[in-house]
Amino acid sequence: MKNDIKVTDTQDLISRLRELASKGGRLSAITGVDLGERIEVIYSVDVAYTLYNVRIEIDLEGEHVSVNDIFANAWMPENELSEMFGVKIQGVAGRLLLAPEDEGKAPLRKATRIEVLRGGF
Amino acid sequence: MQITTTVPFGPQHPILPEPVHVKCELEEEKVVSVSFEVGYAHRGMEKALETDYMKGIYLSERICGICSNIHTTTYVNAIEKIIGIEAHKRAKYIRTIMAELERLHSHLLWLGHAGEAVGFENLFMRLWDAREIVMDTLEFISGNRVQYAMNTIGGVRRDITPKKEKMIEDHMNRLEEKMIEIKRDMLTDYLLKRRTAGVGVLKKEDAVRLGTVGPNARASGVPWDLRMTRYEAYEYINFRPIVLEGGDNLSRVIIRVEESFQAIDIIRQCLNQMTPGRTWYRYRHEVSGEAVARTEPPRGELFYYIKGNGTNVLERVKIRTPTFMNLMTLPTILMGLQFADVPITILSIDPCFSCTDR
Amino acid sequence: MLKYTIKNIFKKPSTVKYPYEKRDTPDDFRGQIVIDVDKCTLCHFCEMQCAANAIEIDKENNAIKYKIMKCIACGECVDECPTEAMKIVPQPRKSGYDKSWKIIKVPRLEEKLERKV
Repeated sequence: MKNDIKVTDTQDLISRLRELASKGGRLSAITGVDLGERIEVIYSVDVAYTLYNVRIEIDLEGEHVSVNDIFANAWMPENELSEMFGVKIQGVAGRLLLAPEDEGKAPLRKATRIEVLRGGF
Repeated sequence: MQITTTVPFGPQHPILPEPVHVKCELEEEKVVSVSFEVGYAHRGMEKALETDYMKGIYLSERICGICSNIHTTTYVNAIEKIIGIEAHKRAKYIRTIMAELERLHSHLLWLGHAGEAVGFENLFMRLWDAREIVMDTLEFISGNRVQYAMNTIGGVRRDITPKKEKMIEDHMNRLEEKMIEIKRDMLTDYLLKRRTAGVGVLKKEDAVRLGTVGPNARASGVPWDLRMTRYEAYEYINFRPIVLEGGDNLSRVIIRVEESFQAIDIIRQCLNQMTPGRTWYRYRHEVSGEAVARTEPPRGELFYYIKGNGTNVLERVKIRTPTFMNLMTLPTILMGLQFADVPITILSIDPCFSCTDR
Repeated sequence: MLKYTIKNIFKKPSTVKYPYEKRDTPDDFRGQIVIDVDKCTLCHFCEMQCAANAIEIDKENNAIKYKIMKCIACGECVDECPTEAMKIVPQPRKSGYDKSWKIIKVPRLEEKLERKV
């Protein structure tokens, strides 16, 4: 993709995001991709109709840093990322879309199998 | 000592078109804090879209009923970017006509709901009667009233014959006459102005800080419109985004009326500029790589990220819908309002929860 | 507003009392799919493309199993069929209770050749 920025540790990630926010950037989306052993997180920031994608790979255990003090509208995408992939993020409760009996199941990971209910058809 | 009352504005309410749970805390009839919950219509679409990429076109259409065509257009744009092909010019014009017709029917639906929320039911009946002209146009072009199945990789599946072009022009003329009368009756009405002016103000700094998109941002003075990136046939069309100052409920009503007239103008420009040509071609591709596509549905900015791994089954599809980001402005605009003004203010950000929950 | 109200007293209502009155539908309205069994060669193309998994081909018994209630009338099978045996017709489907498969027998290739000769 065009305008990709690859970072390897969290200090670099925070400094790049602060630089983009000072240019007038708006957080567009936070995407998670399952790579098997690790999870790749892509932060998409829009600066004057150009999209910059900042990518970082994180482990499944341990806590990941939250970007809520840089971008004020990051708490709903971070809740969705934490709930769908089972990743812990600092200060985020991790409940948005799933029903209470399905919490903790991390449905978007490849290892989770979903049984498909066919209602009488 | 102040006593705080908690009132739930629940998933079922006569004003809300779709379910959300908003918990308002009141002190002496004024709102002091707000929290909300979503997830009542979650169907797991992102996991279900990891299938054959041709079947995914029909599945992505069924995420939302009001903005169904723009979901397929964005999906097909992302896959065309991965493969490296571009649609024919006539197909781009037809996709733009469908997108603007969809913007018309969505705004007319919302204006009817807004009239009903303040108690002006006659406006609701007149607007939905005018909306039937748009639904008839969509049925004559594509065969269905919702979920049109018009897009495919590389173009559109049905062409617009000269008889259909004449019919679209007649329908747009009839619609414009009706809408001029409705606009005059709506904006000179005393009741609508009293209930919506100065209520639910979103200031310009807050709109920029919270990342609002769509007509909500343009009604607060922020000129963001993703059609200025000139995707599809917008590079040949002459238009500028409409921006209003004010940021209250009345500005959000006026901007949707003005955008409806602009949509009729864009459709007329497309019909004048179209030249005969091919509209689609069809052969198999392999999808390997990743791409991002963004378009402008009636509510804001739609974002699709698609990753393929070389077979015909996709690996990851990520959808970020406009109401997902606009919902985070609710705690700011509901502060300090009387409780009777809460329904019309929640409705004025034009929420679509089937898109949010997917 | 008052002029509109007075004009509206003398107009007839804009609702169509379906099913006593019918409205005119276009010619390419998406109604249902009709299969011509003389042209079908049981090649599996429509089954691979069906977006709703509503077609199953059974080669040993020479039959096509077609589920009317699951079909969304998208028309992918019509575009894919190499012998043009599928057609989309503008008659709408009737409502009902039966959710089972509808089995259509396809005559074997020898019978078709016998009929032609």
